[in-house]
Amino acid sequence: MKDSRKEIHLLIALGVFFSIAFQTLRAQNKIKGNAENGASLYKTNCTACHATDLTKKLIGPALSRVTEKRSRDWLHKWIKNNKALRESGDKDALAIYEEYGKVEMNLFPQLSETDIDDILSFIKNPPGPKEEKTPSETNGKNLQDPSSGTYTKLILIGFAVLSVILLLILIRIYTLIRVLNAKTFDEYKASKKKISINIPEILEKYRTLGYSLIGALFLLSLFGLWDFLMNIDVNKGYQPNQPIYFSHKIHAGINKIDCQYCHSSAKYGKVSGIPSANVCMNCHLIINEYKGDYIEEGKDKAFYTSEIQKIYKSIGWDPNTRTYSGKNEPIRWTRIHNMPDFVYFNHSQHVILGEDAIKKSKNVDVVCKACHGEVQEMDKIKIANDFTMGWCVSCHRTIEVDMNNKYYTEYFNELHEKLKKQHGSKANPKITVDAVGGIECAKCHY
Amino acid sequence: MDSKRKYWRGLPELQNENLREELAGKEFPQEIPVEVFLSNQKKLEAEKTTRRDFLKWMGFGTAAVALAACKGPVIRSIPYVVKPDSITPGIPNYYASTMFDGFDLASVLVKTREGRPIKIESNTIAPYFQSISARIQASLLSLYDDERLKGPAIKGKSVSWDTLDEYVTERLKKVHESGRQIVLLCSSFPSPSTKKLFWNFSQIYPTARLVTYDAYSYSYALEATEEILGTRALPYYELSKTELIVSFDADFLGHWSPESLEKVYAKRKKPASDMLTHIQIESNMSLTGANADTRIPLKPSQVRKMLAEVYKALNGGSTNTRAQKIAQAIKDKGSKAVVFADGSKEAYALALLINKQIQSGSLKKDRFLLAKESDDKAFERFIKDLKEDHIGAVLVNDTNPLYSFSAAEELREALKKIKLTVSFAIKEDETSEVMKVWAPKHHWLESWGDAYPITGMYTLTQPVIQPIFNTRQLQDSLLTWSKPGEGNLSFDRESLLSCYDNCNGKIPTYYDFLRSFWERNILPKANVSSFNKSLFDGFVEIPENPELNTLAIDESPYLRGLINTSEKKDLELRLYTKTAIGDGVQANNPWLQELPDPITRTTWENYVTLSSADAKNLGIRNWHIGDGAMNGNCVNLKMGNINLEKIPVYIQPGQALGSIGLALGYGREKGKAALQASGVNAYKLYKNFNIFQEGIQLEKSEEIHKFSCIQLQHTLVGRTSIARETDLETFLTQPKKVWNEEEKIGTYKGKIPSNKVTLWKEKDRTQGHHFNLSVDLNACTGCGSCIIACHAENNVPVVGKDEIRKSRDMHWLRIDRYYSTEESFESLEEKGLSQKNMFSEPEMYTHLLEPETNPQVIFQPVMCQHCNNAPCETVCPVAATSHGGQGQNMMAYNRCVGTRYCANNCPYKVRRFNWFNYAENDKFDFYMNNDLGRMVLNPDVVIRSRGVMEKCSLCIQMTQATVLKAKKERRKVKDEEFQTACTKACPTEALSFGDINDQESQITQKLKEDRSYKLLDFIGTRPNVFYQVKVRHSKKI
Repeated sequence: MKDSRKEIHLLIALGVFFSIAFQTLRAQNKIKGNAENGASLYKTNCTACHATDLTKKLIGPALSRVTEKRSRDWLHKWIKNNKALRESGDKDALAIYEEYGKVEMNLFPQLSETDIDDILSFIKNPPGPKEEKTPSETNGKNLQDPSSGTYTKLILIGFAVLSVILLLILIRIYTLIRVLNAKTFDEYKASKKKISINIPEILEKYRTLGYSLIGALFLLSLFGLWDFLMNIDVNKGYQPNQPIYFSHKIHAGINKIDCQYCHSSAKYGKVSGIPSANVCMNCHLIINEYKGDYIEEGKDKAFYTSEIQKIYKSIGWDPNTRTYSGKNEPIRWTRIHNMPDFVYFNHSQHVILGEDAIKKSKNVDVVCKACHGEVQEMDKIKIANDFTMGWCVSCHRTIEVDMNNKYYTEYFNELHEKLKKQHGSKANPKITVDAVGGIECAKCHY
Repeated sequence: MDSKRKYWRGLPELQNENLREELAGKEFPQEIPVEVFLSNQKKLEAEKTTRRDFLKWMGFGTAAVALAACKGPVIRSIPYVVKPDSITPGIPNYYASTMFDGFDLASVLVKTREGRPIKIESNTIAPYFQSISARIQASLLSLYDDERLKGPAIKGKSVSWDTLDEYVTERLKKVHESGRQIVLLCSSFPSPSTKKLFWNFSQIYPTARLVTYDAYSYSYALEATEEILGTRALPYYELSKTELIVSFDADFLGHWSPESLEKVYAKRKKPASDMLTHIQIESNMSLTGANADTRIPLKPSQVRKMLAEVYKALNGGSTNTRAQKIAQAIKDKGSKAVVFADGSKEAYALALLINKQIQSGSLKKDRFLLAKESDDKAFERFIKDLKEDHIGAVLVNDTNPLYSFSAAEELREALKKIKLTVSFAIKEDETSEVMKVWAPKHHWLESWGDAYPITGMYTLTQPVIQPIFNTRQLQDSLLTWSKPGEGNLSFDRESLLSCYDNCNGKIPTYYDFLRSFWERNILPKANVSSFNKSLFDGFVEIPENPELNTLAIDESPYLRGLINTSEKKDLELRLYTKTAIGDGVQANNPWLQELPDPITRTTWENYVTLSSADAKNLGIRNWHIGDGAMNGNCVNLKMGNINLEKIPVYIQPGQALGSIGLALGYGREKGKAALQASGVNAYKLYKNFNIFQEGIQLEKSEEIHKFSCIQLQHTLVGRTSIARETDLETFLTQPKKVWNEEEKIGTYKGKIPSNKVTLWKEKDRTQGHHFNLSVDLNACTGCGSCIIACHAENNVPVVGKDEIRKSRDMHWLRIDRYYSTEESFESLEEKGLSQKNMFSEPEMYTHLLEPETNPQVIFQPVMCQHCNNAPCETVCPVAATSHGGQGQNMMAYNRCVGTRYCANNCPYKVRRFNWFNYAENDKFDFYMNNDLGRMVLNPDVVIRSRGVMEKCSLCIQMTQATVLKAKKERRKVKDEEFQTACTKACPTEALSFGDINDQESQITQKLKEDRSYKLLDFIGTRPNVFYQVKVRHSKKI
């Protein structure tokens, strides 16, 4: 890797050198533009088919040295309207078209001359050094992080040991003082005897206290048992290993991918759906290695990249030849949220219909977080809530129904008045989900 | 104890004196090698597991298991690798298709979830063939039959399709060279593209012949129509303006017409002054007869005579007074009357002649039913050719002659000698057993296909699931075997290929063939833009005007045929098909086997039906035993040289004297569900394809049969207010209180309306929805379609014959059938029998329990009544059943502990208790115990477990889905959107469902009608299901 990178930099340097050297010779080919603007234009227009790092072949060719290979005019023509260029019989254009399996490149009539120059100047001078910096910085951080953890541990242990020694010394001092204060050895003995404990005596003395203590202990253990039983099959915090180390933090947190981009059936039906591998391929067709800044403790980039390869294996994609083999192998995810069969839960009802109300009530920016917690912070997904009936009902009792919805105005137009009568005229009752039948048994159990 | 006596522990001790002493010395009779262990220190130490270790491991094991049990199991979730675009998990897809299994045909919508079909519904936009019977809906379950053939086989050994093709083509060539015939034996197969395809096949194998053989033959009807109307098809009747139907043993609400007439029939039964009058003259109590206004039971020969007499009377030449009356009724109605007949060519023809004579408007002359093509003569010729060794190859599709042909044994021997026999059956049957090659075809839900069931309409079948097994479409097999260009066969390649477009000279798949056939021959005539559009609709309409030959007809041969039946003393047999099993194609379908017969209410069996008078003569009884189950005597049946032994007898009110009935389709030898049913193969008596057979002798046998009958009471025992009925005259002229009296609660203040006194606090239900279900007793024909729809929608389990007998049936919806009695409490009181002291005068009740010999029948569907003041809710100790704001009585299965108090307290007896786990339990080997069978389950409804009460939920999953859709779209719900499975399936719209808070809804109008009443209203349960009084024409003839 490093070698190849060096090579590239060398090449780029050479390119820059030559371009400067032949600047006068190729006056008409001079590419002058704002590389920064070019970078953003490149990102929005080109990365669907061309590699972001300019060195890899994707659907379209690697562009790193294209400004040397081709003249500026040709590039302008090609980018603006490659079809016209091909139709004009340009040999180079036709050759590229053939080479890349007759996949037509999009036309970009919307790009101005300066835009194209900007892009070309970005391709010519990609912000290389900046790229170099970031990983080294993060690496440094990562190196520090684990060590700082162990330091604190060491310090803590040190403190603990010190405090134990201190305690021992204190006891020692105390006995010494007592020995010093006692005039005779017998007196010392006697003083020691006084302290000796007569258990039956004490029991007799603190009888009521003892019984009440035992009673309290009994009640406590009963409560403990009750609590234990009530928590059977409450799987809050369940965080199993998955066949692919899919990090929601990277996808939903850092890259801010919308939840429903992958869990797309959440807005249509009862299940949110685990995305099929072809949905992963929408992005991972291009992103075939991990280049992000964030790396979880104990992991490295190669690890993430190897996890991406698992998608390819599942869907039968060969990233080198960029072809599908047609051999599929489903991914066996471990199910985390598993409603019992006798519960009917509909995602779309909550995600579409209840979105605003839930967001408001739970004070979250994305509706999904109300139940699934801070998913964007989770490297490994886990159950964030109880998912018990009481937990469901507690929301249904408090969340207000959107009375602007024509359905509710049609069928529950008098409900507010009726509730007022029920609660007395002074109260201003809210129309909560339970007021429209949201806690009736068969609304969820059938 | 006498010391001299000798006590011994066993014979060996007595015989061997020393043994006792030996035994006394030892604690254990056999040596335990304790000493070996203890004496040898080394051995003892070598033993690694000590007792303590053992206890440790035991303790650890128990603790580990206990701890592990507190954690849920790890469940895998496996998403699609590549999700198909059209599938969204949790959202159903619907596809239009055509159901065809050789017997039934219908234009349907198939509901699929995640790519698997789970329900069959009616294609309501189709102009014809849109009624879906119980059989059509249940055919879904046979897709998931785990006994289906898994792939091709030759002589029982599974092979690849290539090997099979090679084997078959080689032999077909040989047969062709030898000049012998190649016969494709097929049920009626109204597929135009397949006919074309077979024509291609016969271009390559010129000796190929298509022989149509239907187990239940329509041949005589087709011949009669050909002679009278000039077309070999079945006539099409349009009843929308008909005012009188006279039916001579034609079961036209059953299988008599391939397209069900129920829908229009029920519409014409709407109480009004021009309401349809229906006179049925028949021998068995059929479903059609049960719905008739007037039913005349006559034995088959007399039915035929009566038809002849009526014909004569119409022409002024009969002396029979009854016939004269009927003829007069027909004359009065003129072109608004119609006559149906069944049983023989003569009867069928004469009925057509009468319709022609009266110029019946019901008989449409520009439209024919083409769904049936039975050709008995061709089949007889085939049998003859077979015997004379003219046939070299037999390919059997959709038919099972070794089961359904009366001379099956003869045929079996002849078939065994044929070199090449191919079965296309989807599962093993009696015929496939002797077939050498098994080329199993797809189930219709996996197939492509088309049909031309009626003049002017073509329908399409499309696959809705990938083939589950390694099967192949029949048409694809034929296409492969008739591949041109192989061998030295003479054929015109160009002409053959010219029928395929865009296939580059290759033999296409059947899909390509079908598509190009439609694009060439059908779509240009239809007003449809593309093949895909017709596939979307499932059908196309084509304007057609068939040419009619108006033939001059001499009625005398028909008349002679009808009258020339000699009067014999022996019993006459009328063979019939049951609503559930039909001709027996679907005998292996557990849903259908467990669907109670609408008339006899028995399941899983067939039997001889006999009138009570004939039964008395033979000394035959039906009786109930202690647990309420029904037993009956059996008979041995003799007809000519055919003996059928130990057939149970069901004493059938309304059965004509001197006649017996026996259902076809039972007595199978293959299929695990079919084998769990009891019954005899009545096809053995189906001689000359005639449903009427004479010369039957019955002899009582010693055997006692245990019926699995789910209804014990035959009559309402005087409680006429349950299933209410009135006659048209009273209905039209009298006020409501005369014929639909409001029931009141008797209190110390006298009788007061039920809504004035209540134990419960009335809930305000004006907000949101308030669902009601209406059951129109006038429109309900008792067809049982709703029961199967309910099974499919709500995952209702099948329990089997033995459990049914223990009254543990799980049907959420039952259709009670009551016979009428002439006696009432009043009439019996007049006779001096008091109803007050019922214990001293039980004979009064026996009077009421006995139906008349020719009773009228009333069907009453009963499901959970969803009482606003539900008695079940008050007694549930755990509040597992409670009332919803929308009017549904809700059952929370997970809360139920199974005390069954609710079932005890339910006045309607609609609650069902899960005595067992019916799913994943091999003791209930129907479909829920295997992975394939479970694919039919509706994922939106839970499978109930053992020890839980269940019942009708008013399909809350459907109403909830509708409500959610409206909420998401922020709009009001349209009236027709609210449906339940039963209302959706009901072909006659007898069941309807809706929101009574919506003042404009149809259900509100129905509730306001005078005919509506609630079941057992006087007990104050205030149900949300209401009924509408049945109105009949009074008996006059």
